[in-house]
Amino acid sequence: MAHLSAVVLAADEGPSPLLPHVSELIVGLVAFTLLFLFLRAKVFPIFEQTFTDRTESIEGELARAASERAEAQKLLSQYQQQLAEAREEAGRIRTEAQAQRAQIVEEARVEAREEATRITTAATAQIASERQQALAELRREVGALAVDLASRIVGESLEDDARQRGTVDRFLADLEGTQPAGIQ
Amino acid sequence: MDTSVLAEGFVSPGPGDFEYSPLFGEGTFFTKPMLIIVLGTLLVAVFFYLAARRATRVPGKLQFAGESAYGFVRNSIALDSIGKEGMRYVPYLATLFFFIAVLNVAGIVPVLQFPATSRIAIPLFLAVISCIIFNSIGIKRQGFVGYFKAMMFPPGIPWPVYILLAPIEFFSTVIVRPVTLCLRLTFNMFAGHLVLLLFILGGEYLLRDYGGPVGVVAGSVSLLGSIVLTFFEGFVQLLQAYVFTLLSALYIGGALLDEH
Amino acid sequence: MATDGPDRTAPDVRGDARKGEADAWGAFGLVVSGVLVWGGVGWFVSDRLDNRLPLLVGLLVGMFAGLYLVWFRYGRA
Repeated sequence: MAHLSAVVLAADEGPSPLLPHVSELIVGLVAFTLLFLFLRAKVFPIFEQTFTDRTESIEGELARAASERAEAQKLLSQYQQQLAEAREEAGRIRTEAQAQRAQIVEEARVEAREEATRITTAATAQIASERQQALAELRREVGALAVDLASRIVGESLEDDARQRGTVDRFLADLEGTQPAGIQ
Repeated sequence: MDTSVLAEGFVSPGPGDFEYSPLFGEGTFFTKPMLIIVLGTLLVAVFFYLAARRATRVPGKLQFAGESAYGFVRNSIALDSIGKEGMRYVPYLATLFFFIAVLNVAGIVPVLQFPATSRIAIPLFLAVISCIIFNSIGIKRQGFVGYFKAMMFPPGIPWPVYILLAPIEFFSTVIVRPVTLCLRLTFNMFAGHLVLLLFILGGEYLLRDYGGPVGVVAGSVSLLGSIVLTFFEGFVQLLQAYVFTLLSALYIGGALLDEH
Repeated sequence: MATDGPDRTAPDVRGDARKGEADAWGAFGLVVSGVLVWGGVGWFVSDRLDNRLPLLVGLLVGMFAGLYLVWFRYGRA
């Protein structure tokens, strides 16, 4: 309002403020043009350059951070992979060991069984052979005893007689035939 | 105030206070407004030269000041009003803003104390340049016929009405825009300077010539008021530089768009 | 084209306040233009016919045409 009234008040005296002053126009135009050319050539490009540099440096830092992150990520995944591999290896070894243990146990069992069988067999054989031996011994002694007894009874030595052997055998056969259960 | 006494001894400031005789005597043409134009232009040039001289990525104080000022016009005026294409017009708009701002603010700088932009010659040629720029952009972008067709014959109106509207559209874009640009700045500076003069000269008169308790009190109030007004004027001066530049940018942005 | 720190490069980020300011000046310009153009024609005709009516009609027509244009350009949703 104050501005308006001042303009109205001023309108009635002196040269009109609406008439441009030609030399001012020229001086102003020249000054403005020179200023524009100077600033456009020498100042504004430098500012733009620093703006760009600043942006680029920030972007560069961001890119560097991003690449570092990626690197860390890679390392991490590498470690994780290695860890997984190690874990897998351990598992494999454990499984293998278990298998081995089972195999060893089985082998031992088989071996023990075989040993037992072998021992049993050997014992059985020995027992059989001993019995056979004892039987033979017994037969021989019984024969001798019988012959001895008979010769004593008969009073004559039948040892060298050819019939002697037949008599003993016949006796023994009779003996076996009458008492088969006693020896077995 | 006693108006009769005022009327006797006090000469109210008027347009005569905007007329300066040549500084270097009769016959030379160089006046105070021209001196202000030259000094102001040199000040802007030297300031920016020093600010940009050793520009680094981490700016010093001066560089920071220069960059901020430039960045304000670049971002808040050019890019915000025009968009990406605004980069092309940043040098013009920035020069425009600082040129107007420094010549406006000369109005409250001690010793100079005259806004050179209150002389209509300066806003006039600036407005004409802005007008030429935005119209030529529109013609270049949309073709001569296309530009004026889009300006004067917006689609969606029955054709007889165009007879009524087309001259208004043309007049408003080609004549009224630059005229309002020019007059808004001129009269704001003119009136602001006149009001400041009134308060300062009136206060001086009251203190010195009118005298007495009334004169001392009224004169002191007037001079104190002029100090407050000086700050207010500083604000108006920067605001008007901003408005002039912003409207120029908006006109350029409008001409760049296809639909006027 | 260079870009700087604050990202202003998104296309057409116009502040609403700024748009409003420009629209206000544009509307003002249209009304003033309407009055001046058709008022001027009316004045010319009045001058020729020595009758004040055409001037009045011109001023009114210009004003309403300007207002219509304001509505047409800025008023529609």
